[in-house]
Amino acid sequence: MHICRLQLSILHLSSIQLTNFRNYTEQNVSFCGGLNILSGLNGAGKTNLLEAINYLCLTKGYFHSGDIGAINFKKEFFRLQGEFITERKIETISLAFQSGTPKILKHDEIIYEKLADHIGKFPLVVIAPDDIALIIEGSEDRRKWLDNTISQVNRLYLDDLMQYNRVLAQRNALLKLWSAGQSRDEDLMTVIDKQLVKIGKQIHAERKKSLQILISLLQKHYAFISNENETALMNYDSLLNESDFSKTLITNREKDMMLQRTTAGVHRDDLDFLLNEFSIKKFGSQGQKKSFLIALKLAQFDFIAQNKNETPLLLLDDIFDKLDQHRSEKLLADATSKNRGQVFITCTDWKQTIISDKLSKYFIVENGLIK
Amino acid sequence: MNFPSRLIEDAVSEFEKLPGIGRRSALRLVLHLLRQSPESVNQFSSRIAKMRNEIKFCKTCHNISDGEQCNICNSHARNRSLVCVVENFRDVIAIESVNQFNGLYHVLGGVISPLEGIGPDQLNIESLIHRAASNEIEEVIMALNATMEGDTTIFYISRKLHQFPNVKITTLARGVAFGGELEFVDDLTLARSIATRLPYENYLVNRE
Repeated sequence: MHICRLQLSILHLSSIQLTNFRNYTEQNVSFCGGLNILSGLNGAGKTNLLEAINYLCLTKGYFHSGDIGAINFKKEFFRLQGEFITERKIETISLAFQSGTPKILKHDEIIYEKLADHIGKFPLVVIAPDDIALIIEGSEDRRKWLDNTISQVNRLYLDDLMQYNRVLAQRNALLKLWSAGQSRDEDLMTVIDKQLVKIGKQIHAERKKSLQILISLLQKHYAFISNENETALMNYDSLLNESDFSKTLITNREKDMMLQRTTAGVHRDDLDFLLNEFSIKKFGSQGQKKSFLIALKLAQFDFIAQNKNETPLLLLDDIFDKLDQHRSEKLLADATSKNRGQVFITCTDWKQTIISDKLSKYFIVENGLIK
Repeated sequence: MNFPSRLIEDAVSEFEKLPGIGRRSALRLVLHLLRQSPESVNQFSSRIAKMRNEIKFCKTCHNISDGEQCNICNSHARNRSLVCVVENFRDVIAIESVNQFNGLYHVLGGVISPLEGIGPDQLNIESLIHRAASNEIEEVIMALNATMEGDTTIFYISRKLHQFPNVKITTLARGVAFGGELEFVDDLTLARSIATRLPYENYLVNRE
C-alpha cells in the first residue's frame, strides 16, 4: 500500500463492512479516495466486493439479480455497511437482508421508507465484461441502462417509471378480464389509457432530452478510445417519436385484448447503437463493440457527473482480461484522469498494469479475505 | 406449538386469523381470557357476534350505521350539497375527527384495481351517480389516497359525473405537510410539490 498525494474532498467510499455477503463472512476494508486496485485469482471475491458497493449505492446487485443468492452459503442474512465521505460530512449507509423479508436500508441510522429514495444519493457507474449484453441482448437491457442513468439524476423520473409500470399492469389485468369475457367498461379503459399516456409522455420527453446529451458524450469518448474515424451514434427508437400515443392505444385496443397485453408504449422503447450509421449489433467487430460499450459507460459517467455536480464512483471489473492492451490503456488513462473520482479496479495481476500518479491503494483478495 | 387442549387450540387459531396477531400473541390473549370469569368472556364473545350480526350499512352513503341511515346522513345540521367521497369507514372517522367538514360522505368500499379483480361494479359508484342526479349536490370532494389506483378511481368517477354540469368536482391538496420542515419532507413529495407549486395568493387564502 502506498499513498501518492492528497485527495480532493469529493464523494468517496472510505470503508465498507461485509457480513455474510456472497463469499465473505466478515470483512472490513478501508479505501482511498483515488484508485483502489483489487487483485486476486478468479473466484477469490473481487467482483463480490464491487457487487457490495453497487448494493450500497443502488440498493441492488449489478452482476447478479435476486438478493437471496447474495447471502453467504448456509447463512440466514447478509449485511453491508459503508462510510461515505461527502463534501459535507461522513454518511453511513447500511443494508441488511434476510430471506423472506424486505431489505432494510438505513442512512445514518434512519430507515428509508422507500428504497427508491436512496437512488442517486451516491451515484455509480460499472464497467464489466457482461456489459456486452447491452449490445447483443434484447431491448430490455438497453432500457434498463438508460433508466438507471436517468434515475440516478432525476428522482421524479424513477417515480414516473414505477407509476407507469403500475398503470401498465392494471391495463394488462383489465385486458385479461375482458378477454376472459367480463363485460367491457370502455370508460374504465379510457381512464387507464389517459393515465398511461400522461406518464408515458413524461418518460418519453425525459429520455429524449437525456439522450441528446448522452449521444454527444458517447461520440467524444468513442473517438478517444478507438482512435478511428468512425462516428458512434445511438438512435432513440420509440413509438412516441412520431405517433400519437393516445390514438395508438385506441387503435390497438382490440389487438391488445386478444394478446392480453399492451403492445404500444414506452415500455417497448429501444436504442439503436450505430457505427457510421450501421448497426453495431449486426456489423460491428468485437473490438468495435468493446470500444462502444466503454464509451457508452464513460458517457453515462459524465452525464451523471454533470447533472449531479458530484463525481460518481467508477467500478471497473476485469477490464484487462477482456480488453486488448490498447483499449485497456486508453480506458485506464481515462479512468485515472483528474475528472474521475474514486475508482475501483479488479484484475488478476496488478503488476502488468497500473502506474498512476493518482492516489492509489492496492489490495489482494484471497478466498473471501482482503489484505 | 402443541397444546394440551383442543379447545385452547381452536381459540388460538381463531385469534391468529386477526391482522397483526401471530401464534404467540394469540396464545397470550387466549390465556388472558382463561383467567377471566366465564361471564365476562361471554359478554366479550356475544358483543362481537352482535356487532357482526346487527351492524348495518347506511343505504345512502354506505357508512357503518346502527340503522337504515347513518347518523351523519340523518343529521339536519349537515350541509347536504357537499359530498366527500372516501375509500372506507376509517377515512370517515379520520375526517370527522378533525371537525372541519360539515357535509355528507360517500363510502366507495375500495378503489378500482383490475389487478385485484376490483372493477367499478364492485364499488359503490352507481349509487353515487344516483345521488348526484338528485340535484341536491353541488360539490363532490374526492378524498382518496394519493395512489395510482386512487387516481384511476377519481378520473373514472369524474367521467361519470360529467353528465351533471352543476356538480363541481374537487380533490384534496397534496404536498408539504403543515408544520413540516422542508428538510424532513421526503424527496418525492418535495419534488412533486415544486412541480405543482401554487400562486402565492392561493396560499394566503388557503391559510385562513
